[in-house]
Parts: sequence; C-alpha cells; structure tokens
Amino acid sequence: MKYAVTGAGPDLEVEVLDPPAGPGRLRVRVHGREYDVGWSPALGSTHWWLEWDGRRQMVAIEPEGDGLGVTLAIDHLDLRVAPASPLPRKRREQGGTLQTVEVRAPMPGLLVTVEVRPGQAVGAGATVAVIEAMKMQMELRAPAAGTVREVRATGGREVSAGEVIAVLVPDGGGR
Amino acid sequence: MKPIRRLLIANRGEIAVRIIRACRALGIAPLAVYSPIDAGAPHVRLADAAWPLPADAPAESYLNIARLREIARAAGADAIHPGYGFLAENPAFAAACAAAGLIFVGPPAEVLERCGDKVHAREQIAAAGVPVLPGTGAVSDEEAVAAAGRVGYPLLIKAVGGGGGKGIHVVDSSVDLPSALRLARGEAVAAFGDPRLYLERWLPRPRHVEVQILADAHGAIVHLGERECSVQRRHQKVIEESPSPALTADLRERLGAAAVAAARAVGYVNAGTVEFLLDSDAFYCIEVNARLQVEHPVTEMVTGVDLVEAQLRIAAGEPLGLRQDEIVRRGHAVECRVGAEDPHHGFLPSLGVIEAVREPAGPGMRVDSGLAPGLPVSRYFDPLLAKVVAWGATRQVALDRMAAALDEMAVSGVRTTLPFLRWAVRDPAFRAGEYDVRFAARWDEWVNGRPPDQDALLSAAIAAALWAHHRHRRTVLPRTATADGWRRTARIESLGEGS
Repeated sequence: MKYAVTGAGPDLEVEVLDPPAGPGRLRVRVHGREYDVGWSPALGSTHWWLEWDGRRQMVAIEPEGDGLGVTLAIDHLDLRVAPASPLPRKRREQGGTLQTVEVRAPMPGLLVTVEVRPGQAVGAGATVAVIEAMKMQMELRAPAAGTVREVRATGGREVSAGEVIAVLVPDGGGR
Repeated sequence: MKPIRRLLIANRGEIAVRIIRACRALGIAPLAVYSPIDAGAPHVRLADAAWPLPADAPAESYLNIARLREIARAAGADAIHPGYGFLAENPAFAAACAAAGLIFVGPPAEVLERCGDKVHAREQIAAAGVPVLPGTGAVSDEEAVAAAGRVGYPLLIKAVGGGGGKGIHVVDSSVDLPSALRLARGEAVAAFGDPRLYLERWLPRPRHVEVQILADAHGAIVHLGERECSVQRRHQKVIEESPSPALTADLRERLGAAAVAAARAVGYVNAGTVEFLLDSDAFYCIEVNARLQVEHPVTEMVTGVDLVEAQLRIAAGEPLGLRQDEIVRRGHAVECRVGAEDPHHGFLPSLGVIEAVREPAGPGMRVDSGLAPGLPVSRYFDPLLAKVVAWGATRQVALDRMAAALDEMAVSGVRTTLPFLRWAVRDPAFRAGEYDVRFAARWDEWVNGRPPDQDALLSAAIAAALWAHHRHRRTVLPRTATADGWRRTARIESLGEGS
C-alpha cells in the first residue's frame, strides 16, 4: 500500500510492504530504500513508538483539519497523507482571486472587545479585537490594510478556536 | 504557638498536590476545594476531604473569599494555605482569615499590603541601601505618557497589584504606549482586580536572579541561596536553576545579604522571594514576592529544606531553628515547567482533556504534577501542568538527567511545551550557562528559520504513513505487537494455562 505524504519540504511516497517484517515490525519503502520499522502504541490515542535505522522515538500524531500534526521530540510537521493514486491528483481549484481576509480567533477564549465596525477602514496591523484566555489578553490585528466588510462576533462572549471574528476586504482586493 | 491540625488548601493543580504532600509528612489533615471542572483532579482525590466551589471562573472558585471562609468553618480547618497565584498575596484574604481565627500560611496582611504596593516597597528597599531600578509610582494613562520620557524607552508597564508575569508589557516607543497601557490595564483587572499600573526602566538583556528567604515571626531571617530564572516567555519563567551559572562567590554573598536586607526592610515573615535583575555584576532589586514560588523545588533540591514545611511551622509561630551557617547547598538543580501551550504555534494555549500521561523518574528526579487522565485543561486557569526537576552533583549531570527525563515524558490530550524544553536544555549556549532573558525568543528563530531536518522529515513521513495504514487496516499489525496482545498473554499466563 502506497501513501503520498505532502506538506513539509519535498513530497514523499511511503510504501508499506506486505508481509510485515515480523512481530510488531513492518517494512516500508521510501526513496527506493527499504526499512524494517517498529511501530506500536505508546500513550493514549496520540503517541506511538517509531523505531527505524537503529533509533527508537516517540511520535505524537493528531488529526488537524484534513491534515496530520506530527510532533517528534523537538520538531513538529504539518503533513497530509493520502493513499497514493496512480492517476494525477486533481488540484483543488482556488475560488477565483482572494477577495476577503478573515480575522479568526487563534484560540478559544473570551472575546473582550471588537474594535472595528462594518465599513470602517483599517490599516495593516490595526487592532481588530482583543481576546482573553488563561488570564492573558491578546490583540487580533488586521493582516492587511482594507475595509471591514463584516463583524461576526461581539465583545463579552466566548469564542472557539478558528471562529471568524471579522471579515476584511483588503485594499485592491476586489469590489 | 498554635499547632496546625487541619489545613484547607485554597488552590488547585500541582501546587495543591505539593502542599498535600507536606501535610502528610507532618501529620496534618489536608482539605481540598475544587471548581466543577476540577472534580476529578489529583488534589481532590489525595486530600482527606474536598468541598465544591460554585463555578469555574476564578472569581467564583479559587478567588471566592466568602465561600472559602464558609468552607474553612464547615471543615473545621485551623489554617489556610493559598499556594501561589489566586489569593496568595491578597491582604484582604489574609485579614479575613485572621478575623475568622484562621492561620493564613503566608505573611501577615500588613506585610502583603506592603509588598503588594510595589512602588512603596521599592522605596523602602532602596532606603535600606539595596539598589533598585528607576521607575514611577502608580500612574494614570496621562501621567504615564508624561513620565515615560523621564523613565526612558524601552520601559516596562507593570501592574501594581501584579505578580507571576501577568499584566507586564514592554514598550519600545511612545507610539506603542497607549495600546500597551490599555492591554496591561485589561489584564491587571482580569488577573488581580486592580487596574493600577506603574512604569519601570527596562534593561535589554539582564539575567533574572532571585533569592529565597525564610523569616520567622520572631525576627530571624535567613536566605537559601539564589535561583536563576532567565529563561522566560511573555515574562513567565519556564526553566529555573540553582545555583546560577552567572554568579561569582562574591556576588552570591552580596546578593544574599541584599535579599535579607530587603526582606527586613519590608518586615517580612514566612517564605518569600526577593527578585533581582543582574546586569553583568550590577544588580537591582525589583520586588519581593510574598508567596511560595512555583520554582521553589530547585531550592529544596540543593538545600534539603522542605519550604512548605517551613511555611507551616513559621505560620504556626515556631522559631526558624535554622541559622544562616547551617544552610549548606549541595550540587545543582534545574526545573522545567511543562505547560499546555503549543510551542510550534506561537505558544498558544492548548485546551482539551488529558487523555494519558507518562511522567519521568530516576536518580535525582522529582516531578510535581497536577496531571491525571480525564482532567480538563480549560481557559480559566494557568497553563502549568507539571514541573520536572532534576538534581545532579554538577550542573552537567543535572542537565543530562533533565534532557533524558523530558524525552521520557509524554502527555496525550493537549499540546505541551515539552518540545521547547527539550530544545532548550540541549542548546549549546544554555549548556554553557551563557544565557539571559532573551534566550527563549531564540526558539522562534530556530523553529522558523531553518530548512526541515531530513532525518526528522523522514521519521515524520514514515510515522504519518504508518498511522494512516494502521487506521485503514487495523489488522495489519500482528496481534502480539499490541498492548492488547501483551495483556492477553499475561492474563493467560497468570491463569496458569500451558504450565
């Protein structure tokens, strides 16, 4: 079974070969080289023991959107993995030109204030809203200069991670 | 003197567990409180009894003075330990305890008042001949703008009622001052219920070194040496060690004497910490922290003194029974704070439910932890999950043990600062002891500014593919390779089959 791994650096194809190398061991082929790999659960549903090339390490893998967050001892990579298909993959079409920019809550917390109104012009880096979690306040800033098209949240209420707080139309970014 | 028999612990997490352990060693009954999401937390299960608090928001839970006082009465407690944070440095709480006939394990209300008014405390400390940094008193926004030029940029905005790095903002120029003042006031109100702010000169690359002191109610004060706390993020300490690699014997002695003088200047009683900034061989006292510090274990490891036990004895009125020349420091200790923050995504809080935990052990190791499977990590409380502490006869040995321990530790359910800590304790500058308060910022450069490591990329790609493979075809792993397989085999063997 072949898997296409994309997202960090060059795309890789990892083939998991049958039969396995032995009890608790698998055979994988990467870059035309075959490795004998140990793979077993380490902790909870997220942590695994990976052993290859004479080194054993703990790897944390968490699904993240339609990708995987892979954390090694120090490094973290955001990867996508899919069964490799012999047909060329369809590239997802971009929905035309980028016309709006969303300002999203980077973490769940209390939205303290929203500092902009629809129709307001904002400079790049202007404070759009202030969010508070774990007793820390953080400013959400406009990623680009533009005009506020929409404000979707109000101060004083809880927001979840990734929730859209405001939508901006960047200057020169559409009509 | 009034012995403590039943101690109510007005805190949560690892520090509540730490205080329970001191109680057990002294034969005191530990009594816990918990907010709804903490109902299954370790401190609740380890205490003799536990009382619920009405809601999770700190004001309703661990800051709820009225409810805590009712619980203390109902529980028959004769003392309350506030831990750190929450009510630890709240003079109104200390006074309320005293009025209710309860021993507050910490300095008396008037000392908390004195230390909490950072501006006034600094004047008293300066008057005692201890060097301090230039700064202002409590200022309004308009006064801050007017005074900023005199203090000089870059400067720090700090909360008068603050502590623990909350409400502190660095301002580089007058342009940034108004928005920084607004954020700092918001944080100060949220964290301390006190909007007052003051300005202080900011040193660009100091080291943060603090001295642990113990003072009894009979006038005896000793210091237990320093802790180096220069590895900080957002003004929050993340790695601490003792002794500091930056001090000469002479500087160490002068710092210890200055700490005792500062403590005496504010009339200090109980365990406390005098914080200094070190700029080459000049030092400035910045404040007296009137509480048990998060990083107290490194001092315990090198001195052998149980600081919580000392706090309880002092609070009960016992004399210190420890002279300065009896405090002998041995070896080296380092502490790493494991927090629920994602170091690969700007250290954003990582919220969730703890699924499983693997904590390290071994020679010289100590783990102070509030972790348990099922524990929610919420936005209401501090992200600190556990402290990993390593002791060694030399700094080298302590750091080697720490590096191994951090590799051993794992937390499932939330992202943690473990990758950052593993990087830090292996960093050549850190290993050489050559670091200052800007050290931790180098992580961002390191993470973002290098091409992906080929070995790491290959490991991650193989892991991702095997994870997907395992999901798609669970039967692909031979049964004997899985934990289930081992468990089944063990069960069969224990039943005596096949023997």
